[in-house]
Amino acid sequence: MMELKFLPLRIKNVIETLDVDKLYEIRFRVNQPIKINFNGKYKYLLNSYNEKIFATNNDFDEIIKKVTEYSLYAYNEKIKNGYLYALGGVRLGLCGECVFDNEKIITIKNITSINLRVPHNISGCSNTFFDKLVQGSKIYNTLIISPPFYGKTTMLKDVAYKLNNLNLGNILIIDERGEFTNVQGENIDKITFCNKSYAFEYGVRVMSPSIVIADELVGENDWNYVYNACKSGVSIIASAHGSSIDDVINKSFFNNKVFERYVVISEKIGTVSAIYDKNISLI
Amino acid sequence: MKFFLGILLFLASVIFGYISSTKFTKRTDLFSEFCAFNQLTISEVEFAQNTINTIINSIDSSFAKDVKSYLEQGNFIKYDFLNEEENNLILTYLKNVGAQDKISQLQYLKKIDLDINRRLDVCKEEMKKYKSLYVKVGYLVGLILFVLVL
Repeated sequence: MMELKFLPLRIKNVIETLDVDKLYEIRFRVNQPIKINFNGKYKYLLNSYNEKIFATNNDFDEIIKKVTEYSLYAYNEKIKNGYLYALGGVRLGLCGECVFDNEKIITIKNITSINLRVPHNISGCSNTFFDKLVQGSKIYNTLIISPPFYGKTTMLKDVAYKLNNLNLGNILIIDERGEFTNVQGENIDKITFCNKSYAFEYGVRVMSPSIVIADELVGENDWNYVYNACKSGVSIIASAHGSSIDDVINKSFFNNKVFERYVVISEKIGTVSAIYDKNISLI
Repeated sequence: MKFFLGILLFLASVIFGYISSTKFTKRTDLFSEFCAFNQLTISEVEFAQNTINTIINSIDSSFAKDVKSYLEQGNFIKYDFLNEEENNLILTYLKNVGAQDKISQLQYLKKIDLDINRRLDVCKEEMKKYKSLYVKVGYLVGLILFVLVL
């Protein structure tokens, strides 16, 4: 069951009546009706009288206070990056007024929107492509490509569990935002809430992993970290945003010496639409 | 009969004196706990950045429990053994603790630490001065009542 302790009671009571397995998002906008993504479709959150439930400033205060455990100082680094994590890996994307000091963002205040993403562990969701990633003891460097919200992280989690069960070596998960909180295993090490630059350099050096799992490669730097890790003999399983293979190979910093497999999820949440090899040929 | 009434009045007076004196102990204990809580919070904010909840759970003190109750329920029950100024100091602290980013929070906690320590010194001094005085006055009044009744 998803941890909902941080939600205001009147909202929590309604959410608890829903099938959480089909709940993907809860969107709060100040003074607007709360919307949910349920089974892939956006709907209003309705109370027992079938009335829309509106998000108030007090709801925002309560959610932020509870998620930060009344300790803004401990969470400000995350807030200024626009997100927070609650227990159980629930991610809260935040929008509000950015506060700058010497052109550096120091915090976000007066939060007006919260996008609460509900994590799912779908056991076996990587079954359709896992055999293309691993052959015997060889693990191909793999990039999972999908638009936001199509299940990249869920796939990575499932891959992590499968690799752990196969005992193919030590697995290091670089978990920048705490999305892999619940992922555990006898071969799994995690570096949490740490940027890729530090995690790739420090993690690879001190934990001697055979496999590194990293979510959401964004810019050139991220690709360089992955490339350097590959050159040191580590296998990489990563993900990136994109709706097709072209979105990745057309990037100016694309390097075809890094990944050997590309798994594209683009048509439906959690469904693989194509798998490519390192020469960008369908397999 | 008069003798027993005298004894009763004497005991009542001694107990009243003792109970009145405990407010000084309670006040000193509360400010000692407040001071310890604040100093641990300063160190946590500065280094490990553990949350207020973690700090509360690591301290076995009634002040920490009061902080927890305020944060979770939002209502402040005034301490009857503190004066208005002391109650306000604690309420302001409860409103601010955890509510700022690291730099502002450290500045605030370090500044208020001076106030808490100053207040703790006053409490200790007053306890030394008045605690035994209240007990002694209790005994004295008890004796006078005893003599008068006899």
